[in-house]
Amino acid sequence: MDLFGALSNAFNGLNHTQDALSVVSQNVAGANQPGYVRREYMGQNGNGLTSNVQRVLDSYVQKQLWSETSASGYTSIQAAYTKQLDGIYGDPSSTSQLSSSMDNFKNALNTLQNNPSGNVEQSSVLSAASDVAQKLGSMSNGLQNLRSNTEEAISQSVTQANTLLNQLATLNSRIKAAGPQKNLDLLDNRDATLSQLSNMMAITVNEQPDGSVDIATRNGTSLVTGLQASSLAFDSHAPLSPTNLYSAVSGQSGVGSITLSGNGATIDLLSGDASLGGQIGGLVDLRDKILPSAQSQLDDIGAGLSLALSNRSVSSSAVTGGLSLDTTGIQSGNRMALTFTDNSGAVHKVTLVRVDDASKLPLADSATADPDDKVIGVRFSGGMAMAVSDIQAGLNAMGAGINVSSTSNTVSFTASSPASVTSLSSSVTNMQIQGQGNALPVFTDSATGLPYTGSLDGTDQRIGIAARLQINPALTAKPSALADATGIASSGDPTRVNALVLQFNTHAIEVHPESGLSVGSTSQVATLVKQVYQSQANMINRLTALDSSQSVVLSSIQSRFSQASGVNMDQELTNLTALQNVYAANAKVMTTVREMFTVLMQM
Amino acid sequence: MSISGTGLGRSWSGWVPQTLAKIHDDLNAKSVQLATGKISTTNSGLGGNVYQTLDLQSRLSACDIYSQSNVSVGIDLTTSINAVSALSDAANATKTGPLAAINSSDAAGRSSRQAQLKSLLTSHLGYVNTRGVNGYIFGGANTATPPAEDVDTLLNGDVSAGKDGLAKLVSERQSADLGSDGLGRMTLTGSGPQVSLSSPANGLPFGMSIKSVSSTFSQGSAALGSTLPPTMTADFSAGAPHSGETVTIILNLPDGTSTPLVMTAGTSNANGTFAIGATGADTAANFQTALTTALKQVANVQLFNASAVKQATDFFSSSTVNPPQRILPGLDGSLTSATAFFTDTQTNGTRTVAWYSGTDANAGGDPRQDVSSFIGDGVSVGIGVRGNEKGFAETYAALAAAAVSISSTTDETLANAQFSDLVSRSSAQVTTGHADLQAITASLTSAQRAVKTESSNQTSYKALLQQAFDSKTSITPEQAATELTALQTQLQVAYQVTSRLMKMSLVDYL
Repeated sequence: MDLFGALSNAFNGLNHTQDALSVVSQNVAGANQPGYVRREYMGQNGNGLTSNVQRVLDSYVQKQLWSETSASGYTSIQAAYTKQLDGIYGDPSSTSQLSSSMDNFKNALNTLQNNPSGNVEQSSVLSAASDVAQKLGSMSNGLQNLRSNTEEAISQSVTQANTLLNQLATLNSRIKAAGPQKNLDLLDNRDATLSQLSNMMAITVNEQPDGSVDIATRNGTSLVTGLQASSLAFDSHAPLSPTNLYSAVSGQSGVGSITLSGNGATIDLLSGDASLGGQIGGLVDLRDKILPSAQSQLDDIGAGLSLALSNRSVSSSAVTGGLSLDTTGIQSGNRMALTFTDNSGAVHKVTLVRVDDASKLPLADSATADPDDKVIGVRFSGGMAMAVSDIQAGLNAMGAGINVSSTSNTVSFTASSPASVTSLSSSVTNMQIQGQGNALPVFTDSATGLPYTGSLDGTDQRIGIAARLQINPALTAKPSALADATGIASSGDPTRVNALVLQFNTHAIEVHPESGLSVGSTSQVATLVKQVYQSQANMINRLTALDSSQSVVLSSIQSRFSQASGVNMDQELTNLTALQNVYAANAKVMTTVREMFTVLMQM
Repeated sequence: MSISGTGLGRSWSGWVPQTLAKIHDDLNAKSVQLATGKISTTNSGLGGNVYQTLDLQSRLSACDIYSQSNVSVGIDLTTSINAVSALSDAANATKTGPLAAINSSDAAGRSSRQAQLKSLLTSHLGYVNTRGVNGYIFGGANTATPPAEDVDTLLNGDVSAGKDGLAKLVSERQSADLGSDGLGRMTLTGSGPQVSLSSPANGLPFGMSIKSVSSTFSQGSAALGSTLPPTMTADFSAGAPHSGETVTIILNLPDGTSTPLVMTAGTSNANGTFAIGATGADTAANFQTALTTALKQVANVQLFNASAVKQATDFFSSSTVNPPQRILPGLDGSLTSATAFFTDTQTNGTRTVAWYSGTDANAGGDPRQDVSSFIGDGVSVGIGVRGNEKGFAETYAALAAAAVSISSTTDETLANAQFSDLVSRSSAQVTTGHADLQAITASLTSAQRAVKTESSNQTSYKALLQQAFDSKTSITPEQAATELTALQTQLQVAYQVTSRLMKMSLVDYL
């Protein structure tokens, strides 16, 4: 050991300290920079010329962070929409919401019962009914506006995601070019971009040996491979109406689909069952599941209310070996209910639905809300012969052993023992306000101007009926029909009003599975409204709770990440002080060596 | 929440803003609660109570509606009860006043009393046109139009429309009941020692008929045969009765009453006595002469009035859908030989005034149920009344008959007898009507009681509902303020601690 060795050591010490100090300064500077990962000085590289600085990164926690970020993007965007969704339903403790409008309608009918010929009472019923229709309409519009907003938001998010994908491809190429001497800023930048992308949609990230990353969607569709980014496209259909629904069949979707093109192939990212995750996934689920189900609830209410008042039930007559039913006036969508026992003693429930649109046949059993019935579509448009042959074919397909025949408009169902026809009835929509019994078409579908019949021809009439329900103009022109089913009844006769009240209170209306209500397949209209409100409140509270618990999860994973990879100012300052001291000590060594050399020279 | 950076310094620094924001939101929510007094103003804010809140809301609004309708039902009931009792009282007053006074009047006095009766009838009939909250209350289900015709038209007919009124109908009925010979459509024949008096042919809706015959004759006989129509045969072939012996013939009158006719054996043919003759044939001839006179007297007095009362009762029981029946003239074209009524319907051109256009009492069913008012969930009371129900028809018929019956006789004694009988006949029917009106009042009163009970039930039920509703939706200012203060304290503490933590940095100590 000589003085030169000491001097060289001190010089090295100063060098190292300077490098370490530079890392400290980077950390301090980057402390509040998004995406900045704390760096650590690992000594010098083999050549002794460059310093070895590495990011302090737990890549497992980082991946978890990205995945929780996606989940949080999903829940937070949904929670953000709940406030508006909640607003659509109004305040249950006030009397300006739908349920109170229904109450008012019922109360107006009750008041009319006490004075059927009262002009004031009749017009109260009409204004209460039109208020119900208006509420249903404005709530539907509210829901569809929200859906249109989600459509716009998806469009924006897709554009944003596209930009991020392109950025990532560019970053990949730069990182690759930087070679093994990776630029830490580029890596930080890339991770920050990935973090943003994961907020948009759920992604899987695979780091390659050359430092680039391959990115794919949750179900493995590649988004970025090396330097190649696929491009996302969205064909917005805004503004949306209730009948704008998603279809995986190309060209048939009423809403925008997210398509991914790259490597010469185009894929519809929404066609699978799995959600895309992230904000985009959250928005798509709002648009295609949550909001349509809310719309379907309103449609069930609208359709149910209309049918409860407008439909007359027709009962069967006995014929030898079975039952017969008059089908006069049956409208498209109207139903006949048939129960029979087959030769083996099993009881079958069959719903015959008038469908004139041959392209809809045969009907699926899900065409009615009842899960236990077999559904047969029947064309009446081609006369009774066609109807009978449709019914017969449907029953034969079940192996029913029932014979169907017709005389004029009457259809007979007969069976020979041990098989038997147990019951037969139909529910037929009155198209006129008088002369067809006590049932009264109080509402019409504004699209057709006729009472709602539940027609399945073309687009299912039920979809969006809540938005189209209006008070029957014929009734507005003749309010006295509320109390007068025949046109010749004495003015104080309460029979029709009593019948309407009974129907309103007791009619079992259909609740479709699409509505997502766990109340069975039927309910009463006033009860259903309340069930819908409760179910919406529950859903919104569930979404909000999900989001807040998700943000707790995200916070905790963020803390874990921060503990490992964040800049702790105290620690950096401690390092700074230590480095300062080391630097001073090395400098002291050099000073001392210099003094020793001076002494040596003076000898 | 969007995640932008991951390089945050301290491990707690991600939590703090979130937690502070959360407390801040809670604080806002509480201050809204304090300001509105409501737990929430949104659907989701009521959490699991939404269904119950809406259900309570429905029940409360139903209570409101019922309490409103119960008020109007109550008013209608009170109005109809008052009107029925007022009618009943007024009819009684008329009975003891102008009606009774007819008895003690001369011809001029009688006609002025009758004029007075007519004008009183106007006010009595006015009750049928009483209006309630929900329209006319005595028209059954027809509440839209006044049910009763005006008095002048119904009594005197509508001349311009060619329609006859009650006065015309009464005089026609009296002609048909009395018959051409004035014997009340009975046949009196004599042959040798025998005299027979036969009731009109079975089913003839006019005249009087024999109900029963009893005699005290010790010789000869007077008895009802076993054949129909009832025929009395007096046979004096076995000898004449002794002086003072009587035969009593009870005669049925059209209004459902009956009157006795007593023939006493005596020395001359007058005043219900017949002279005992030397032979059976003589006695029979005397008996026939005397009986003719007596029958004419009964026909002119009792039958004449019973006919008027019966016709008036039929008239007031009729309605526009069930118009008064008219008399079909006999084969000779005269009313005195008429044998049947015909229905004077609107289709063959009615020529008769129908006094009442509401729901017809003859239509069947319970008149109360014509207007069925709902006073609670599934609870209804019948408050309908038909203006031609029994009580009304009887009362009006009694007064109207007395008002329109005109005697054409110049014999003041006969006229006095006629009016005396008319007054007692009418008075009796006013009394019957009074009882029937009371039955109507009784059923209305029980409906009124039901309304009162239901109303007080509703009131206490509503209070319970309101309480339940408030507990689901409201928050007291005290509770809100307490919670607000707690949150405020929590937030202050959090701010202080956070600011101290944020201030602590090694930088400051170097």
